[in-house]
Amino acid sequence: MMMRIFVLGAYPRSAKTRKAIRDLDEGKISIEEARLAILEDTAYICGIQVGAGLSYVQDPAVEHHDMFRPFVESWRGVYADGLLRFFDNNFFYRIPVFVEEPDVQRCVISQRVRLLKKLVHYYPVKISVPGPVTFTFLSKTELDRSELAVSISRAYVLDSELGDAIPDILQLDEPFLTDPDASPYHVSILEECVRELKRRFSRIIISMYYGVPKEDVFKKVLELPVEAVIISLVEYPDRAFSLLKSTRPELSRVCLGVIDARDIKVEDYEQVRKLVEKAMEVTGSKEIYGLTTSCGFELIPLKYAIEKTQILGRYGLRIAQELVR
Amino acid sequence: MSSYTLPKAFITTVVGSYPKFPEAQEAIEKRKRGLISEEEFRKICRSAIKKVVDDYITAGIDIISDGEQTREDMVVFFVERMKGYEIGDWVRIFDNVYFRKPIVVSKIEYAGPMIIEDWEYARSVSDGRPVKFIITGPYTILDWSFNLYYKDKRELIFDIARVLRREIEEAVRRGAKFVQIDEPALSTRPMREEAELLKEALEIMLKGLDCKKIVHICFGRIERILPYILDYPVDQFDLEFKNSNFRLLPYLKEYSYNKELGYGVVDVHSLKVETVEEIKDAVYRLLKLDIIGPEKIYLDPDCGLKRLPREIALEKLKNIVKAAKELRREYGYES
Ligand SMILES: [Zn+2]
Repeated sequence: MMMRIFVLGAYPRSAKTRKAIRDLDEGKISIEEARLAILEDTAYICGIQVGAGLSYVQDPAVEHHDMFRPFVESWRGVYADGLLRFFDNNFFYRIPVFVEEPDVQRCVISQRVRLLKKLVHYYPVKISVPGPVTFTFLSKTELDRSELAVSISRAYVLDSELGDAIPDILQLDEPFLTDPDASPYHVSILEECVRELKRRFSRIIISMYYGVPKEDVFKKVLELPVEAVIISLVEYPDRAFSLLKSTRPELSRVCLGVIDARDIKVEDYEQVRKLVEKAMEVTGSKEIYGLTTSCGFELIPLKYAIEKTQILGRYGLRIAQELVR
Repeated sequence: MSSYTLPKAFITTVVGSYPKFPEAQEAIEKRKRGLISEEEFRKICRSAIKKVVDDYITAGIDIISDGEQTREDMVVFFVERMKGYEIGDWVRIFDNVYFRKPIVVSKIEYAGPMIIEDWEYARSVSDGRPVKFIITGPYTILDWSFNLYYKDKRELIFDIARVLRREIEEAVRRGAKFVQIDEPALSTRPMREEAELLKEALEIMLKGLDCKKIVHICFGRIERILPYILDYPVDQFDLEFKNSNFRLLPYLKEYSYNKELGYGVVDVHSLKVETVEEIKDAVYRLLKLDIIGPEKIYLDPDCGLKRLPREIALEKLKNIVKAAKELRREYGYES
């Protein structure tokens, strides 16, 4: 199987879109005008990904204020509350508050798939959604959290059924699993969620970012019936390599984050190649599922996100030729 | 300048920022657009600083601040006034709100005083009350900017620390008795190696200076970072407690905390004004742990008050002062 190359998550907004959203909020322009600016960004970013030769087009999700918001705004039973720091970033999300189990009012996933398929019709599309464990544990609720996580998964399934569209890849973003407080217990919740999701989505990958998961967590995630698991090698390389060394996963099921998506410094080829080489060496693997970014690009300016998308494509193709069987 | 005698116990203070007065906000905008000079900017902001100080005096706070009226942001303000930084492109903070994330493009060097003037002015109108010298720490400055120049993060943080040291040294030379370093970014990455990096930077910044040295950390995983910071070369940690429902208290006991403590007893994210009783109860809970006595306890809000409406900020401060007075009487420090 060819090594895949793709971007992990969302993209930042262009200046034009930022202004359009501001103008919309102030009542200066219509929703159609704002949508047009967003659509221009979306089409442009998708085009960049296709041009870079990536294996899937990642949903740029430029209109979403944070990863939870599109769902919080489209489901009954949950609302967005005050701001809270999002992991170790100088970025804040609005805390979802679940007062009851989510009830899908409007489709998000299937709408995104339909839009992207129109823009890049022949290309495989990847949609990333908040992993049910991260969604649940970053929310406020009186509900039982493991039950809530499963009902969030059901909401994703229902969304896709109602809108009758499935992404080629569904990515569950689970940064919470790299948190020091995460444990195998959280993975067992995720296991149940994955079982629900598999009823509808045949290709699922799980991404863990902003940190490196603990060994017991990582081992258990690897046992889940998913296509691949993403971990980042760039932020804490020592931790990441010692995790790979101690767990020795088959890299044909692991996707490596090799481009730092939170930094504007552009990596050189040798630096990236060395990371991949070392990962193959410590695990004894000959194949790699894929290469990706350390996380989404939302927290760097768009021009750097574009440049890094392009080098990911370029370096990835070269590494595939030089290193991977 | 008249002199002011600090109480022996339960000293009241603030973390730093105060709601921005409209003239300060306007001056920040005008300066950014190049409509006024730095000098004019400072002059306009003085009236805002004076109002902040008056509010603190009205509330009865013992150790006050300049309210950070000139600072549009706790990182951008400083890096704009150092050599080595460029103001970068827009990066999201939340929703559709963005800030221009600074970029390190050359060696970081001292370019001149940054907050001395504001602090001096606050001191001149403080009626003798000590004004805390409050500066954003090197870890937070490093973490909230991009770096295109330094190969090694250690070199970068140490250069920032050297610049901040010059500013602090000058303040101490002019008589600053309380120096506070704000490090909100530290608790977002509660790891030993990060804490140790800041420790080295603090040594550069504070070594040999004759003043009370304070580090402020708020929100995030303070309980996880706590064991790694206890040997910092400082006299006091100023920490957020109220917002996280005093979750941190048992950890102070667990790690045998024995420095002075800036005890955050009012929530800066809540519009509800804590009652005097609530504040006193929080202090009883701390004293019950039997780790530090009243003389080591400073009462203050969790963090800066900038996001609160002024009236609410003021009410919260008044209740802190009332609680402190009652506590001093109860514990025999005042009659
Ligand atoms: Zn704070």
